[in-house]
Amino acid sequence: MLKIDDLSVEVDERDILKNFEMSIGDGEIHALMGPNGTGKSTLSKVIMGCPDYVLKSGKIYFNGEDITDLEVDERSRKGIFLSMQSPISIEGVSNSEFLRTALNARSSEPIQLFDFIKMMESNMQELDIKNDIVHKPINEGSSGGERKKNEVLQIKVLKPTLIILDEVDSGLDVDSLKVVCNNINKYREENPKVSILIITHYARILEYIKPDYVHVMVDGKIVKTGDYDLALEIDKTGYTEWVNL
Amino acid sequence: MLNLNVNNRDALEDIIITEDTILKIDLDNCSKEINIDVMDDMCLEVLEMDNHTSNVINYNLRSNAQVIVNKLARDCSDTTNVTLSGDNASIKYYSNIMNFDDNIYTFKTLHKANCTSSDIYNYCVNFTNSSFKFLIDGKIERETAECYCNQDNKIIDMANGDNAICPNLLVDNDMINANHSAYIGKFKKDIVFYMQSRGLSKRDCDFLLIKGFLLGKMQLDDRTLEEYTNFVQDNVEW
Repeated sequence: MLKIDDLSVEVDERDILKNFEMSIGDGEIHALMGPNGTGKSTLSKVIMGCPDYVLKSGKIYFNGEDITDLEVDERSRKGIFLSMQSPISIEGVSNSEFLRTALNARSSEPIQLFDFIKMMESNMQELDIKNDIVHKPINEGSSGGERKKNEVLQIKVLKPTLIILDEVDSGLDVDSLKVVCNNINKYREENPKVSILIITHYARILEYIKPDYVHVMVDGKIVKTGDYDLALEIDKTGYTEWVNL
Repeated sequence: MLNLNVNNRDALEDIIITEDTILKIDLDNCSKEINIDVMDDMCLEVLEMDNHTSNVINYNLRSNAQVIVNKLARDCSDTTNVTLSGDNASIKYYSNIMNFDDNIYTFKTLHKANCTSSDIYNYCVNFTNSSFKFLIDGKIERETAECYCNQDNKIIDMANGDNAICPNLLVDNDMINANHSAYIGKFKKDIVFYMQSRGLSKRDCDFLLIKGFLLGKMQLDDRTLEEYTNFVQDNVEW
């Protein structure tokens, strides 16, 4: 589904990703772990096409198509979803008009209001989100947990095929983390070809969403790949072994 | 509640508000002077939609008068003068402007009585390289006390316009609460990235952000909101 080939990226003339390689197959769950400042969030934004980053070399392929030069919105409509570490609030733009516009951008037929309301209601119920959120500006006055739930609501409505979860566990209490992870797992059960890239510091979230592969990223590169046991090992020993390589 | 309408065809005389009123002002390509006198204890809601105007609108609020103005305009060089002449008078004023040509919008608030309150929001989206200026004055006289004077001024620059905000607070009394703010800039890049990452085109993002910026603070019923949204949609040029 996703192939990243020899990707080098710089920000403010500093190399962040260095000849980065990664491949994610259909239906696979990958976890990317690493210490702070190693380039994990940069990677997620580069996959999404954020224009703040300068690509020095490399290609990104999505379902076999070279998307390296595509705009952010085009990548999204192809099925990539980035759940952000700190979802921002947007004054004056309601969740309802935002999501309806996003849905309509994906379809030749505009979604009917009644269908939209029904879809929102059932998804909000599953996420334990209050109904009045639809009329409120995006994330305005919301807690960290509510913002993360709103990200998952967007996933359930927009139905992406590749989900990138950038520290989805940060700012979540245990109960909210369970709700978020259960909803992501349910979405994946309903859509088995969906692939997930989980970016995290800690193994805790991987107890709820079990990865097929765990990668350790240090200084802009993957230095080790393993399975879930690697995440457990990192939880015990930290990243020192790889940082000092 | 009395409903009043004012448009280009009316020979505008002084408007005296003697009962609670909703006043609809709809002016197109004109330059007029309108005096609105809100009598003691009266509530006035103004819904104003203007196109290419350079009007002078004078509000005088007497004791306990309460006024809320929801104004949406295209290419507006109006001057608005608000005088809070009676104790406990209060005004909330939302000016929202779509700018394409060179314009100067002037807003003056004068607090002449105790416990008066003005909450003024002047927002503009400048779509072109033209010049747009907010000249905003708030004055609180020495003999008044316990007043609240707030001015929030923002210009969103969609091109490379020559924009300026000149806010002045002239305060002659310590027993008051006054503040002002001014922002000129683009929509934040991380907001646009967030919206585009959900599949919205740049055009859709801009429209939602412009609409939210211009209409988000106003207190409108659903029907008026739809009318104002259509006005934004009809006037936005890309």
